[in-house]
Amino acid sequence: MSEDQVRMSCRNVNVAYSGNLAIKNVSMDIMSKKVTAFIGPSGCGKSTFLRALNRMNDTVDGCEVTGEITLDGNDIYAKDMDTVFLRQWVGMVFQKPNPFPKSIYENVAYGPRIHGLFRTKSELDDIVEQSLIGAGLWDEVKDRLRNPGTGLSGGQQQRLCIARAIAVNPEVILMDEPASALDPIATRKIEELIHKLAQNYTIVIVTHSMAQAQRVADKTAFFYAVPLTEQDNSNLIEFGDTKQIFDNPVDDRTRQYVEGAFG
Amino acid sequence: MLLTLFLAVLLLVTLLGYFVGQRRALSAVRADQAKRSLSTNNYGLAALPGFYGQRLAYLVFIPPFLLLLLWWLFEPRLADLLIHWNLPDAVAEATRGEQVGIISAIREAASSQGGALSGDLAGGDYQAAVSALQALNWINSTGIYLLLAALLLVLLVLGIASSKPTFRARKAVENWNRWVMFAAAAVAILITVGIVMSLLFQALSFFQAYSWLDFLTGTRWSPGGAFQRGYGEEATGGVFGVVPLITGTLLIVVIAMSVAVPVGLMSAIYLGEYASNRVRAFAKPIMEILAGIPTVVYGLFAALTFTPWLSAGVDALNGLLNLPVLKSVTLLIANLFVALGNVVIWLGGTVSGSAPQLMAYFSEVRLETGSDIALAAGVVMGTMIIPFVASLSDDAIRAVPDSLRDGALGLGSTRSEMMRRVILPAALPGIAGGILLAVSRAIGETMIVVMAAGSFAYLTFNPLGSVSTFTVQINALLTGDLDFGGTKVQAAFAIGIFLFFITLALNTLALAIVRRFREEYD
Amino acid sequence: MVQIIDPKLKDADYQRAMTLRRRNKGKRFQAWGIAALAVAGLMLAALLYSIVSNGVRGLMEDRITVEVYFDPEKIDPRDSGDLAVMRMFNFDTLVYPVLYEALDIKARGRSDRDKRRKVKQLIGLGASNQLREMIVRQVGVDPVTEDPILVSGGTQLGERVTVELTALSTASNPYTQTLRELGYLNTRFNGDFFTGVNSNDPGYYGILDALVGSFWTLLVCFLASFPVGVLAAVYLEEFAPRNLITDFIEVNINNLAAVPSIVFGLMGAFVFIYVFGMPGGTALVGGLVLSLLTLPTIIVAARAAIRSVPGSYREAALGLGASRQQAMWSFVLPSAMPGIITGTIIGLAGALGETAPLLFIGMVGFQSGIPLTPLDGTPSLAVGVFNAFGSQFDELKNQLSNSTIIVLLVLLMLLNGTAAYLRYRSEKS
Repeated sequence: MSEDQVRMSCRNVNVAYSGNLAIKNVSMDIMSKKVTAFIGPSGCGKSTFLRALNRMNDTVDGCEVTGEITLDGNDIYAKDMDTVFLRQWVGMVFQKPNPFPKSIYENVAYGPRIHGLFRTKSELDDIVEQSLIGAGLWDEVKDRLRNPGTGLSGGQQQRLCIARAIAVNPEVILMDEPASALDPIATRKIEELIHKLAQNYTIVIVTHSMAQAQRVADKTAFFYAVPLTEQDNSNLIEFGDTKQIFDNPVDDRTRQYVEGAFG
Repeated sequence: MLLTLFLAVLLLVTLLGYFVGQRRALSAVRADQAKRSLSTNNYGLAALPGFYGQRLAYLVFIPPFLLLLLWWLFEPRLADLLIHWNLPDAVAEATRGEQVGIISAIREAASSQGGALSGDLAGGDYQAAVSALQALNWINSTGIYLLLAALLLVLLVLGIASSKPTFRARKAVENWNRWVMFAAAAVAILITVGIVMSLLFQALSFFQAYSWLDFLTGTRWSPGGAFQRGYGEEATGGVFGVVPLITGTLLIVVIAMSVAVPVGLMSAIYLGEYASNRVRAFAKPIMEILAGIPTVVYGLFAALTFTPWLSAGVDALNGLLNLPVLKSVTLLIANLFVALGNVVIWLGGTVSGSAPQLMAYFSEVRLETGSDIALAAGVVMGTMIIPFVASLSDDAIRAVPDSLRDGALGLGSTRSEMMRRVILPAALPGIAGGILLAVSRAIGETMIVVMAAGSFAYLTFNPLGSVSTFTVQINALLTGDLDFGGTKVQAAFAIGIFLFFITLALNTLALAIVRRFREEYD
Repeated sequence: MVQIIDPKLKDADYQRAMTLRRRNKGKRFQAWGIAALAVAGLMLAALLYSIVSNGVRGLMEDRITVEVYFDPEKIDPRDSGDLAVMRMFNFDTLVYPVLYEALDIKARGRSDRDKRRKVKQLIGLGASNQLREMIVRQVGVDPVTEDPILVSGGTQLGERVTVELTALSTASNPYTQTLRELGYLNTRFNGDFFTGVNSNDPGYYGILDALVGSFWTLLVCFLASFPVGVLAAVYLEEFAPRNLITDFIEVNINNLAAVPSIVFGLMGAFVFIYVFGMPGGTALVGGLVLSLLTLPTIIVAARAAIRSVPGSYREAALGLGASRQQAMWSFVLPSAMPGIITGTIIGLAGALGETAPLLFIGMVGFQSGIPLTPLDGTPSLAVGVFNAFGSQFDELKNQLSNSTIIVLLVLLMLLNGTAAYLRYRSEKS
């Protein structure tokens, strides 16, 4: 697999909630096995756009997505695309850790179980172990896999959710401010984990912390809530290498934002 | 007549007190020169004049009214007690019927002119009771009103005397208010005490006549006691073994819950998760109407419409089972059971039903139904509880945070996988609590079983058979004249206290479960 | 990281097929939901069908119209002219021969005995009375001799009069159709249902006493539970100190809401009738018993309504120097009133339909006139349904009971509709 392969491609994407545009005219390519960060002030639509990437918006009544989003060349909004099928390839980790009220083992085994990704119990055991190792949680929980997942600390819970997501071996992992509810030490661990995961997975992360984007992201996209009525406007102000966005932004609004003038 | 007169006087004096109180306070001020200070207002009073009036009105109204109310409520029982205390000890040995006769004779004599007893009782030891009752009657007709009038006068004088400008009338009025409000809130305690006391009082009398162990473990319930002679018949005239009622109630509740839980739960899931707004607008009222229909309506439906339908259904099923094609199969199954029973008997075991009966093999399979079918009462009761289960399940499902939904969907669950594997297990404690509440309601439900279940307490778990429940028997025992000294009525209260504590325990447990479940997600 | 999922299982085509299977499973789950709703809907439809089909039949009644000859030979064979003698006559025997003749049934002999019995079953209990009243009426009792005082009913012996009589159990009687075709039997609106009172005779049964009784019962229930409930709610929401007594009160209120209603009936029978000696079967006792059930409902609704009044009202009043009670009476309680009244109406609607707690206080089987005060014995509408259910006559047990239910359900709809309207209006403002 070549280094600069495009995994997801978005062309002229609009997202509307009951007729009101929340995202307008966004086009970008998400590169394989890179970390792409979405930054911008709150309310700029970055989370909405992230949720459009694995059709989580489908659960919201009156939400409509137009334009084209492809995964490895397949239109994910095609009529015959099943969201259940899609979300195996594009997984998601949420802002607030949300382990199921089941054991640690069952939390991780949930995805493989519903998708039928194993044949024997020992295969499932292996998947759970490897996923927990991948999420850097194995050493902490290997002796208490039967304990409830809700009994872990906040940072551990979030890593459990990441283990749960990688247990189905997705191509892309979407992370919606995964560290915003955590303390600095737990945040650090999550960031290290994201680095490590990027060797195997394509990662898209929404963050409100510019420092975090600089630490973890290869590419950064700056979103801004422009007046959406005007022609040719887009929420996506600027998209490029993280270094370029932070050191040498093209757009004034990006510059002001990364310099901390607002947001 | 005196009662009406006194009530009129009381109201008049109260109204008068309101104006007198104000006047009195204001006129006192003029005397010592009104002036405004930190402790007085523009009138030179410690409170607005209205409060002085209000306070005097409260003072003259509340105590006499309370006294009158209490007297009116408790006087009837006081008469009974007086007669009892003054009766010679010999009466205690008389039969209940004789006692009742003596007491009514005494009452009659006391209310007659001379107060003399006639016939056998004349001149005996019974005259003391008559005199006591006459004294009570005098108090009731005259004495109490003299007392009340005196009280009213004293309160009026005291109140007028204390209506000084420096008196903090607003504080006094608000204190009265607080006590009245407290009394209103304490009514809840009074009601509970009333329930427990009345149930206990009667139930304890019952257990003096009938062993509580036999009550709890007896397998025959026959309050008439006419069919078989057995324990306690001389003493009580009936056999009160509660086991058949427990099994009967259990059978009907199990049937009801096996209708209400799946239907209620699945309806709640469908309405909450899948239904379009149009379906919801159509289906929600179904639940609301089912919830609002009175139980007597369900009872009538169960007894007059649903039971015949079910009988017809069973007849049709009988026809089906005996169709040439199916008959050999059903007969084979039925006879296999008989054969199994016979083998058990040959091996020295016992099977319910006598051995000769079991030896005979079936030549036709028939399901029998009588005029009351437990299944009919149970299914209709279940229907009544559907909205209850649905609304409590809906609450429990809604209490599961949305983040779990997102988590499950984000991993690629279908909606039903999310529901069955994540949301329902998470909501299970809440749902279980709700089901317990529903069970408690089913146990206490009365009209459906009174109208559609049997009155004879068979000990059976056959859903097509006839069973009786606690509430049916309470109704049966209390139909007709209420003789609170009689064993039948007391037995009803014994079941009542049983029922009260079972439902209380179920509710406490259910609420505790639901509360813990709520805390988990708060 | 080692990926150990078998690539065959994660193969796109395999997973696509798998997803389809899972989707179908989901559809089956959804179908169960629809089935559950359908069961609930079907049961409701069956219930309403049963009520309406039977109830509407109860609103119509079958009448038999015959020309009756008041035969002096039979009624007063010795020509005594004594009203007391005439009164003893079994007047319905005047009707049967007419019908036998019409139906071609022999009036004597063994052969047609069963047929004659069927014909007799058609004539209502009240027929004999109705005819007797035409000849002789009792207007009172002589205070000295205790003999009935009799007057002539206006019809003379020997007259032929066409009378309308109630027909019973027509649905199951073999002669109904023939008599209808011959013009003896016709169906008309059952006016007695709305103007008559509780009776064993389906021809005279009416619900006026039960309607008035329900009104008195609800009035007593309201007067007993509304002031107590509102004051208790005000106390618990605003003035109660946090202590053991308050906690105990709260626990009691919660538990009362869960006590089976029949237990309130037991308690009511014992406390109100036995201990307090109140008159049984009256709206007073019925209303008091029902108030025990509505009280928790009202308290809970009133507390919620008081809690939802914005705190700024209270603070504004307190800031002007009002006491807490003045703020309560003049600002908070009036703003909470719509919510409290809505809750009270819902509680009263529940009380209107309650039957079980009224079973033991003497309302069942009660027969008397229209109750003029709450101290008169009376059934309530719901008890009226139960009374009718106990009848041996098909018309009363099956049909008029359901007609009574229709009236009851209409009243419930009015009450609940009012509550819904009040809630809608207060939410809008």
